[in-house]
Amino acid sequence: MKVNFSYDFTLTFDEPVRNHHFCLRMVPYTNAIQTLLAWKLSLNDGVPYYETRDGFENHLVYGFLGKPHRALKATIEGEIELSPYVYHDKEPVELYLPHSTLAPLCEDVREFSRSLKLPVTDFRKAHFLTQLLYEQFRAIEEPKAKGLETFLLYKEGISQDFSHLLIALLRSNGIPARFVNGFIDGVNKTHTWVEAFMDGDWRGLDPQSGIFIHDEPYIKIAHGRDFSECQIHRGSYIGKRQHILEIMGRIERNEQ
Amino acid sequence: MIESNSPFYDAFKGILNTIDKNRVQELLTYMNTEAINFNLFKNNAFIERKFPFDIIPRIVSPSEFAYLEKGIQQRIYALNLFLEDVYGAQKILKDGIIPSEFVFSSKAYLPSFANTSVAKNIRVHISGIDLVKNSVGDGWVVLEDNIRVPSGVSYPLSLRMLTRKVFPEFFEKLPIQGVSDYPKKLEAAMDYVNTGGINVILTPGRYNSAFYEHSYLAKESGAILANGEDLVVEKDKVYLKTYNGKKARVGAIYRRLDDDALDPVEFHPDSLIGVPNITQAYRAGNVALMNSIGNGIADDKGIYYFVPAMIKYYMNEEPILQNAPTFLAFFEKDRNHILQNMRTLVIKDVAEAGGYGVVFGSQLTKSEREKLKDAIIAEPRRFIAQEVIEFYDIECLDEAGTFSPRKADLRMFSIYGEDIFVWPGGLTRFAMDPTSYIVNSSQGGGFKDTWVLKEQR
Repeated sequence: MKVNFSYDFTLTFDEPVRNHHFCLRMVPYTNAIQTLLAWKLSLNDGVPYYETRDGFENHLVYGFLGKPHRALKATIEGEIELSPYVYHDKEPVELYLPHSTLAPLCEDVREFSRSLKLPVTDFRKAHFLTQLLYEQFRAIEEPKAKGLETFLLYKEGISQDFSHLLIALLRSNGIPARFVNGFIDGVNKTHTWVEAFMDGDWRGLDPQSGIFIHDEPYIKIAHGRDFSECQIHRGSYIGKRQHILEIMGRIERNEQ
Repeated sequence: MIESNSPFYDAFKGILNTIDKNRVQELLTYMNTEAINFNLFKNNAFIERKFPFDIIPRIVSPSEFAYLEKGIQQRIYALNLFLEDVYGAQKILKDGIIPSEFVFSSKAYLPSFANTSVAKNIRVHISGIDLVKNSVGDGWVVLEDNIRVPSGVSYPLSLRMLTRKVFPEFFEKLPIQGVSDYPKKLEAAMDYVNTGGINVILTPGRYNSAFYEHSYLAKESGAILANGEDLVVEKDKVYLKTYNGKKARVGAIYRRLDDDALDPVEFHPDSLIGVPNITQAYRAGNVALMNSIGNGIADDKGIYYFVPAMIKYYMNEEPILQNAPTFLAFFEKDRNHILQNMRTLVIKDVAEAGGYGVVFGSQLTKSEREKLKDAIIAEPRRFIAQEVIEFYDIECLDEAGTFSPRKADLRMFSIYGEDIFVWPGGLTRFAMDPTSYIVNSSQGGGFKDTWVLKEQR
């Protein structure tokens, strides 16, 4: 399936900041189920950018905006070919079994895990957990605090919380799982989901909608062991830290 | 037990007896003038502290040095190959020599730097290997490989300079190998991996415990001493900002910052001492970092266990230097051994450094021991245990002019450039407390010079 996509990223500051070194992960990932056919990235005021890749093969775009500015805006648009969400790659699967900082096997997760009666096979376990998160947890914009403890206590959180909890539960059941940052059509936030390795393939699981992703248009940007390794924006600047992040993804089927 | 059976110590003492003891005071004054400090952070307070030293050196015989040199070269070569492998093809994991879980569950392994190639395939440019000489059997034993940001070379180097000035007799009468070419070797290694531009030593600043060393090495190697704010990434390269507003391209950086502090965009966002986006320039191959990013996985106290296996695997050689007998709680058999022999073992938390997180089982109360047992069972990956090594004491000369024995280790430095240079000197650290085994500088230990003797004709 070929789709046209566009993805807008805006970081707005209350007061102008300067000497802004940034590193963006916003170019879609290239792998067996995503082929990037064309893309064009532009930054505000035509700021030049440079490209490299990290150890996860995430595509990095980095640069520098020195003069005072109230916003960093980046837009990428292009065309991508998507295939059904079943694939494998060269990365060692075992990398995604140990628990990581943002998806820890903390006491609260352990306790929650103990309270569940899970089916037998990996597939059914993964499906059960994905559904469970969808049914029992609520997506909100501003959680009371960060982290899985809060998410488990109030049963509400942001997209990352869903993914991190699912990852922690999968890993504690011996299923390798990784964090995915990306977008779907129209959602006004970064959308995150999970890839789980079962029967020799990575499969996409979206705990916010309770589904195994198959041929729905999900565009993956980056992955890592947890959110800390695939953030859309990382930066360092002089100025007040407060900022507002806005993201808009659009995906349209290309009928030709 | 004192390492005193060597004829060299007798020769040393013979000369010392002919020397006016007031000159020791003179040496002390010189050391103070040079401000040879090892600063400490304790209870959030910055303490500028003199690094206590003792004038009796450790003396290493020519044949002993030749053996250590070969052993260290072999070890560093293997550790470098391990890092190239573990951030590349990961053959050693696929072949089951090291359990992959062991590497992947370590915080020191940085998968976001997998497949990043480094200049000349060198990652372990500067290393400091800690050894002790076992009084049982007289053999050298490696305790730790320090291949992230090892410090200490400048202390014996400065002490040597001053000792030569104050006590020339020793150098006239004993065939002591010179050590002053260390900074030149450092410079040559920086030039060797340099990707185009000047050489820089990146320091966290004057509050760092080893700032003295950073400035010393910069002065002597011809590199520019810079703080993070003096460097800037422009386009995809690193530049030094100079006072006239011009910028100079930087091709090699001997960085004395931990990975975590190196780049606020990539690592800890609150780091004010790093250089934003320097890791991107590094990934792009536009600057050499000494040492490379992610080396922590190779000097992880748990990976230490596997170094002899690495030497066999990568080099098809028998290890020249021995490890201390080590047990990994990760393996069930070893874990049971640890749990049953807590009293006779030293237990180390692999995540800690600088003598923190080291516990002698014999010194624990019953309840402390039970608590540690629970921790080991809960998180086996975190702990290793070693048999206590009865290593040699070396004598110290105290203020009253009497000799008293202290436990002493040896940190030997090497520089990997065109070849692996093992410095014919070293930092000998001793425990301040005559009953203690902990010699770390950050735990209040002192230091001695290390004299490597030349073959006499």
